Amino acid sequence: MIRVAAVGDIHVGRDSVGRVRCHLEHLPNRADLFLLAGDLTKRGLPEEADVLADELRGLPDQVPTFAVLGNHDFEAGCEEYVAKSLAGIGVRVLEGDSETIDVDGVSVGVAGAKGFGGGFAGACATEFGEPEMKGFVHHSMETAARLEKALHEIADADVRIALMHYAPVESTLRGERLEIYPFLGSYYLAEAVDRAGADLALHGHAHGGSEKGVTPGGVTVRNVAQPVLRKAYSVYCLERGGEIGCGAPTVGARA
Amino acid sequence: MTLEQNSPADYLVGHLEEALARDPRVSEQGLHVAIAAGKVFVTGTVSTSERLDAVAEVVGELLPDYELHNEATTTEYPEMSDEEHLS
Repeated sequence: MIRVAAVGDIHVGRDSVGRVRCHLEHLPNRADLFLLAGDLTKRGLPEEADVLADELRGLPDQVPTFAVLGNHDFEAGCEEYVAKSLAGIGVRVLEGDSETIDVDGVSVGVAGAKGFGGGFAGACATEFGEPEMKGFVHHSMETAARLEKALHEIADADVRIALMHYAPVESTLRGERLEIYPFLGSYYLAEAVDRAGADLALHGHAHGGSEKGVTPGGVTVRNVAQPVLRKAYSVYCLERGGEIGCGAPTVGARA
Repeated sequence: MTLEQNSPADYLVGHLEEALARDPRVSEQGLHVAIAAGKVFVTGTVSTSERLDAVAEVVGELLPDYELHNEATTTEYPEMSDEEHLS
C-alpha cells in the first residue's frame, strides 16, 4: 500500500515562520510521499519562497516531496525563484513533467501541471473572439496537454498520480459559487487524466469546495486545499493496481 | 483611500473583495464580503492571525463608517492521524 500525504494552498508568507514545520512533524512516519498542490506562497515573493524553503527544509530528505505551483505563486512574477527555491531543498517541482520513485518495490509515478480555469462542459469558455479570451482558453488547453504528456510518461508505473493546482472536475467544487467555477478549473484537465489514465488526481485552489470527487472516466479526485481539509494534510492509501494489500483494485482509466 | 460610502452595496462588495485579493497585507481571493444595514461581514479563511488583522485594516481604511464583522478564520490546522483508504 502506498500512503500519499497531500495538501495545497498553504499560502506561506513572511508571517509564517515556524508555523508550517511544526504541523508536519509526523508526516515522514505516516506517508511514503508528500504532494503539494500549489499556492504554496502568499504572493510568490522571493522572501516568501525563502520562508517556505526554510519551513520544508529536511523534509524531502525523509519523504519524497513533489509540488506544482499555483496562481498565488505567480503573483509577483518570481515563479522561477519559487520553483528553484523548492528544488534547492529537494522538492521536485513539476510543470508538464513527471518522476517515478520506488517505494518498497512499488513504482509510484507523479505527473504534475498547474492547470488553469476555463470551466466545465456545458458552461465553459471557448477559444474564440478577442485575443485575451483566446489566450485564456489556450493557456488552459496547453497546461492540460502538458499534464497528459506527463501522465503518459508514467504509464508503466504501478501507481500513477496526477497533481495539479486547478480543479479537473466540478464535483470537488461543491460549496463554491457556481458563477466562479470557470475560474476554479477546467474539464480539459479531467479529459487529460482520463485519456492518459491515473489512480488518483489531486488539486487545490477551491477553498470553499469539497474534498471528494471523480472524473467522468472514473478516476478518484481529491481537493486538498487546506481550508477544505481543515488539517495540516491528508493521507490517502492506494493499493498497487489491485495486486497487493486489501480492498479492490484502484479506480482509474488504465487500459 | 476610501470607497464612496454611499455607493450601492453590490459595488462596495465588489471593490472590497478586489482589495482583499490585491492588498499585499491580505492577498486572499477566497474571502467573501456581504454588506447590510451599515455593517460589513467578511467570511472565508486566511492563513495566519496577522492576515486576519489585516482584513480589518483594509476594510477599515476603505469603509471607515461601516461596522466590521470579521468572521473569517485562520487555517492554522494541526496534524491528524486519520487516513483514507482508496479502493
